[in-house]
Amino acid sequence: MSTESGTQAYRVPYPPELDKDDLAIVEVEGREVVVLKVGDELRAIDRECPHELGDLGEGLLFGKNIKCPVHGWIFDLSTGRCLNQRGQWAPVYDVAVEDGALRLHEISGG
Amino acid sequence: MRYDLVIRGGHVLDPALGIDRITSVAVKDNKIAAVGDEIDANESERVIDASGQYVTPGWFDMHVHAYSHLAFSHPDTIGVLQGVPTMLDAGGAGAWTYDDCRAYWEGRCKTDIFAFVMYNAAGIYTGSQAILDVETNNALEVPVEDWKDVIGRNIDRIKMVKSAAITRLGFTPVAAAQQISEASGVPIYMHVGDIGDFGNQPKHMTIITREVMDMLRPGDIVTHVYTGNWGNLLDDRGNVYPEVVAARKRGVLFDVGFGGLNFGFEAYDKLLHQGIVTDVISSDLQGVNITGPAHSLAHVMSLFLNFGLTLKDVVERVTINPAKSQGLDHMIGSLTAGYPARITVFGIEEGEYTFRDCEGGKRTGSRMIRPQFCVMDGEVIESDFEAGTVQENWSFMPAMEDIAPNAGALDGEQREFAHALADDYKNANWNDGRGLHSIFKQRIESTGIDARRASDAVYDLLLESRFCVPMGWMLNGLEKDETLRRLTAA
Repeated sequence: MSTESGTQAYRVPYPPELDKDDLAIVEVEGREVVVLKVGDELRAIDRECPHELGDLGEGLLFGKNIKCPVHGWIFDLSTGRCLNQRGQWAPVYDVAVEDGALRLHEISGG
Repeated sequence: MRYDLVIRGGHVLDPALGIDRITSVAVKDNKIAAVGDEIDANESERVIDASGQYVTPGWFDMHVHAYSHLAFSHPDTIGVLQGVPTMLDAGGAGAWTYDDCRAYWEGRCKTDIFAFVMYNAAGIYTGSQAILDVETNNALEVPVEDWKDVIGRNIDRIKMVKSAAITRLGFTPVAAAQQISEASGVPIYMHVGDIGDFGNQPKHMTIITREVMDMLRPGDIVTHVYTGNWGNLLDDRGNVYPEVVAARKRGVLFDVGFGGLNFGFEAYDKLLHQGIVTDVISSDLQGVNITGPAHSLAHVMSLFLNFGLTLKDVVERVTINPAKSQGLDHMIGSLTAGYPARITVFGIEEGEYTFRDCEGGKRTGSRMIRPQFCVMDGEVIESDFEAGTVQENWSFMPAMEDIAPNAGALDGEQREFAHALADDYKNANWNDGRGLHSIFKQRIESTGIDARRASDAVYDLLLESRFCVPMGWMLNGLEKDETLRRLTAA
């Protein structure tokens, strides 16, 4: 992994399982991040739900949202906003494939 | 006519009565009239040919989520529409919310819903920790009198108090449940296995499972028995803890509670191999697992049918065993003449089916149980598994557009109520769910509106689809300004 300083962007090796499972877990500065295929787009969100540490890697994907399997908090993968609990956000990332690697650009919500 | 309904030609399997053969079941006046070959279909108003199907006592799913954010827009979608006439909400409500949940659904649901109340007085609460701290989770201050009151008035419905052995919560939920149990006389339903920690050991914390098992008494129930998560019933070498075996011997009952997080094939194999077979099979269906891995009680039953149990074993665990565990075997769990006519009719399809656990494991099985219809107190209800999987049914979601989809359905009385409520809430502390709840109830009382119509008005103005979430604790998860705007604009 390499960090592009000042941009909150990170490069990680392309995880091969992403093509097979449409989902992969990558590590970004000690945090686990879930990368998902959402239609034709790649999106990413921190694996730990900010509520009670539910595993968003096991979350239910619907539309451009993901639902935590523990208590059902729903996050918009474009903005990170929790749609069914006021004032709550999760870190999400724009994702691009560059030179065979993933470039994750963190969107700071809230 | 002698009978209202006869189901003939099916394989009747009633473990409680020892019936396991092709014969007929007759219903009269919404009750079981008879089971046997002597039943004459010519003496019935309606006859259903169940050739090639199994006919069992109506299934009883002892662990679902019918109330709260975790639940469904309509509980019948996981009940009678999935071949389940009787079910039990496991912890959606507590001392301060049970009455409202009961009143909201009673008479509106065809499925008969019993309840375990949560050790937390607000019920299962899924809001932010900041609000939770202010709000309800100080379980050391158990409102014992409130508990005695609500359980006493609803003892026909409330069967147990739900607690949890979760490492990071320590003994607080256990102690709270013990207090409630002692005060009210209902036994304890104990969740085991950590959730929300990726199944790993929380740092610097010791599991409490073994001690909790020692605390349980005959008639208490352990759920999520086959969880593979940290804090489960196995030691690090895969051996069942001696405290688990001892609890079993002294009459503590065991339940599956499959859920979305609480079943692992690896743990199941080890426990089964060491003789731990649960008394009850339940789905723990909730909004996050109806699209998988649980899907339905029938799907969970099919998993056990493919991987370890006989059909009789499985049927016993969704009929007479849960009925007995809740003291309901005087009315459900068998096809005894005179009991309410609750019957489930299903086929078993042969093919190749994938069964997933909650840890990424999957296995292929060859049989799938497919409910065709159930009889609910005499009424024949065809199965409809699609109804449950519609997103609006499993996703508690605030309205996304300026005007909520169902806002137009309100009548004048409901709109007037919404306006008055908006005024009441202007100066309310939005972090105080109980306070918001009280204001809502006071406004109902002062206007005289029917409580359910009042709830529907608020749900319809604020949500994408109705969800029976206790009002105060729903509102404090939503934005105050936006809520007041929508109520005022009604």
